[in-house]
Amino acid sequence: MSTNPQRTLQLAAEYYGLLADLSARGEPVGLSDLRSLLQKYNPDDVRPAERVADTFEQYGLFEKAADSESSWEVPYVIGEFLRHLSMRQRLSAPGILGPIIEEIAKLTEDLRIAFDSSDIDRVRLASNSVKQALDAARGLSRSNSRAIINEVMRIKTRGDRRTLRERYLFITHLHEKHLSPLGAFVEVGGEMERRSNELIAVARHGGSSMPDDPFVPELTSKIISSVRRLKDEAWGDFHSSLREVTPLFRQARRDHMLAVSISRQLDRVAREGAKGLDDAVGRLPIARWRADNIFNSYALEDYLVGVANYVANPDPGPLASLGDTVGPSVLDPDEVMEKLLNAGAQVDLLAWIVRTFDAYPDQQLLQAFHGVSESPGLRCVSADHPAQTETADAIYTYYPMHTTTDA
Amino acid sequence: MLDHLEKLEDIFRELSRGRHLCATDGDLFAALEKHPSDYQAVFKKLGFELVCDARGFYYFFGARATANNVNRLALFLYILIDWLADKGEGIMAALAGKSFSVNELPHLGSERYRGYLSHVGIATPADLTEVIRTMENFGFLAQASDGTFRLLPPAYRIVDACVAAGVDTEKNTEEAGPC
Repeated sequence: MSTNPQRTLQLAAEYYGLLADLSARGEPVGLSDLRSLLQKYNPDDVRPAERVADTFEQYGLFEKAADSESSWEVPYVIGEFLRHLSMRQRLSAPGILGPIIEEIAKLTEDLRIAFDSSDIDRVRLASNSVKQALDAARGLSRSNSRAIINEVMRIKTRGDRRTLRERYLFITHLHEKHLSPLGAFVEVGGEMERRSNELIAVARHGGSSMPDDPFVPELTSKIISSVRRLKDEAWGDFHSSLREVTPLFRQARRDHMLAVSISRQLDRVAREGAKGLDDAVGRLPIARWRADNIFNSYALEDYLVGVANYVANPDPGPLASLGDTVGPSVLDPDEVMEKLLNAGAQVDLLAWIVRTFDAYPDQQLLQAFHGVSESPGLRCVSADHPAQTETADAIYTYYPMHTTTDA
Repeated sequence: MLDHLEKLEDIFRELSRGRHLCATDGDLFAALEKHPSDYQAVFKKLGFELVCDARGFYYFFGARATANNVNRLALFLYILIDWLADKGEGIMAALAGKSFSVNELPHLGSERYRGYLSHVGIATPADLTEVIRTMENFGFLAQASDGTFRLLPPAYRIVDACVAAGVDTEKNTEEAGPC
């Protein structure tokens, strides 16, 4: 690899699309894939793919893949650089901020010792190291926050192509492994605040313990402002990440729980058939009320169906040509009542009607019984023991009705 | 006394037919929204329980007489949600009005789904169309003229039933414990 940063940056600019694509994939690329990518991103480039790969390798934009001589990948630092430029950072490993903060704690101790020994060279060395560690922590916080927001955007636009379960697991991981520990660091009373306060205290102490050194005020002032910047930015990064992730996390959790319920329900249907839906459907009564719902007895419904077909004076049709002698005879209730009054009190009204009007069909006899028994001029009392009366068509068992007249 | 209850007759007719009324029902929903408790009181006198769901819909809890074949509607929606989950689509977002093309529904396109549906007598596109029409009549979805439909807030009721049944089943399993 030749060291020519200017040429490297020129090449990176020329092939930015291709390199950004490859670094986003994070996978090695062979010659055929490289040709396709060149065709896609640099269609006017006439150089063969092999030559482009060699040039990239020469200027540090490619390195041979670990497991193959004929495929290449974008080196980690170049990938990070491209992602930084495109603000499409990747999430760092969870917990990586912790060791940096620990390192800052160690360097704080070094700085304190340097101030205590009033050794300006040692103070300079320690403060430079502290400043670098603070910048690293700040850069990590910022890049993680951007990475989280990138992931959130991919999820929102469904660019992540994950199933609901995969997405739920990912967001849970994001929440539990990245955000929650970060929150513990940056919130009031957290590790970062504690370490920052220690560092600021050491810097202030240094300022007062070496008041005559012309460089110390500038060094301590830089350290204090770097610490404050880290605190502010890390806190802001954390909260902006939290604002993005929390609603998504809640939504993913709700969706996931729902998907699990539905999946179990469908599994039940597969095992039990339609019966497997009974529990759910039992909780889902949908009103279906019509006026006919009030007749909720089948006997009554059947009766009403029969009544619906009743016609008071039917068209006699072919019967119209028959003589009166064969026409149906009708039992006149007034005639029945008159005969009953003449006959006096009866111990069994129905038996008396059947005996007296035996030429009539049962239906008319029963209608006459019903009409007479409800007549206001007659007092009726039911007997305690059942009786039987026989007609040509049926044997009736009933409680006899005793009658007396009001007259 | 009932003068302030607008559209009372229309509202009763729709609700008693099993329809769930939500914002897409326009005037009827707006009238209910004005005096929900008054409508509830009136319908209670008639023996009907008007439920006001906080997610923006009203319905009669069908305790007196209920619709048949609700299992077909429920299974239709459950399959739709299962499909969305496999595709990584947000379920809540879909329930909030995502548009579905009837021709692209997964119900008859997968053997697994066809198997579920066979238990409730759905086997053809015509059966599916009938289910969609019934769901529209009940106010669970709204069809458009371009062959698409979108779920309406009352569809949450079908989803709730599934979740509640699942919770109960889990509870019973836990109570039964290991033999």
